[in-house]
Amino acid sequence: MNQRLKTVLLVLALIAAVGYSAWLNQNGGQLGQLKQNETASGDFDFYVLSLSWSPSFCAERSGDDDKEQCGTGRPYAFVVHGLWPQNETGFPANCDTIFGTRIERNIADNMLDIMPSRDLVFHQWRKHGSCSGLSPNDFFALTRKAKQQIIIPRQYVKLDNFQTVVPADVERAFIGANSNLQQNAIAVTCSNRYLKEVRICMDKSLGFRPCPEVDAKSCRAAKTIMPPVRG
Amino acid sequence: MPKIYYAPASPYSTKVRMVAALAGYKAESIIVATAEDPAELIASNPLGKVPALMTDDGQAVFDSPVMCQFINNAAGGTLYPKNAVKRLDVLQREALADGICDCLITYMYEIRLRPENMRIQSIMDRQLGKAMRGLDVLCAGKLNVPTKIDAGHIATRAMIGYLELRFAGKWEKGRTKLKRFAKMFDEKYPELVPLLPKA
Repeated sequence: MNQRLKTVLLVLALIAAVGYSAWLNQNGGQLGQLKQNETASGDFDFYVLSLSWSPSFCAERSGDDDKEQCGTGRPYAFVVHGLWPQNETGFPANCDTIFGTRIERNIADNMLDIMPSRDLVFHQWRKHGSCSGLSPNDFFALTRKAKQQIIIPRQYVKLDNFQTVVPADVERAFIGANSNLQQNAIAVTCSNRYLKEVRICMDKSLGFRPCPEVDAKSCRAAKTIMPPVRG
Repeated sequence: MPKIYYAPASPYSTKVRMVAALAGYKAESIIVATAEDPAELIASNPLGKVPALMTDDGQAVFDSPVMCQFINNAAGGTLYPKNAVKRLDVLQREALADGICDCLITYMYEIRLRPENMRIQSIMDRQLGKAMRGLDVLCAGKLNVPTKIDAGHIATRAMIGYLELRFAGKWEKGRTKLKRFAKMFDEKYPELVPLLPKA
């Protein structure tokens, strides 16, 4: 058989196969299937898990307004700032949700091991969770699961002294500790002199995925400060 | 004449009455107040739920999926296909629409019957979450009004009617497919529109 005839037959076979599967599909039921964590009202492209270096946050605050996070006996290191629905360009915020804007106190209580204050949990629901299409319980369960995808590099689990760090080194440490994480899926941010956050992009099934816009907002400072964890 | 006991806001009642109308089943529709457990309703369904059917020769038929099939058979309707595979698909879509209503109604009962300080939001949200997931599966699939509709389409329209009645402004975002389906259905069957759930 000559090559051209082979190609033609192959194409014909392909068309027949595609047509047959379409026919099967049509006769096998009309209901759709959902991908993991997919909702129609949660219309966005992916998630950003934002991990905040709590001592930096506290160093920038003065007074008693963040006692729950920054008071004594709160030895927070990297904490979950939030899980943010994100689009390739921009992100949705403060969405109308059938679940309402207020959530139960016990949802916030249950998050306090990885999120530093109840007010933060409430705020995260109003601003970001409301756009997920998920219920508050499902959203914060997903937030916890997202956090569990990340291994915090050993040197940042606790920090006893002020450290000057190169943001790119922090990024590299996270990539080193998390084998599937690539450079284009993580961004380190800073404000003033402080290293502020590590942001990691995840698809809706919580696999790492690239995110150029988030990455472009990375810290440009050559060096930043990481204050020590408060005792 | 057979009697269909129903409540105006009940999406299952809407479904059954639409099936009766389309299949050409002649019955008298009678509004009942379920909260009072009226004797004629209990006689038609010991569970005291609407809709329920009482035939002329005293056969009680419930609940709504059974009623729909009974009515379709009795009137020689075509709303359930004879082919086993196609029939299961219709039953599956009817079950999904009914199941979404089950969740929404459980949620509404919490709001209407339980004092606010005794409500548990997460339990209510769980019902709402199930319903929303059901809607999303409908949106992800094939949802149109074909020339020959079946009981699944009717159940879906009735369910959307209940959403429109009780959850207006809260479920539509991202679900234009459902809104479009309802609009197309109503345009094609204007005579069924008065049967949609009403307060």
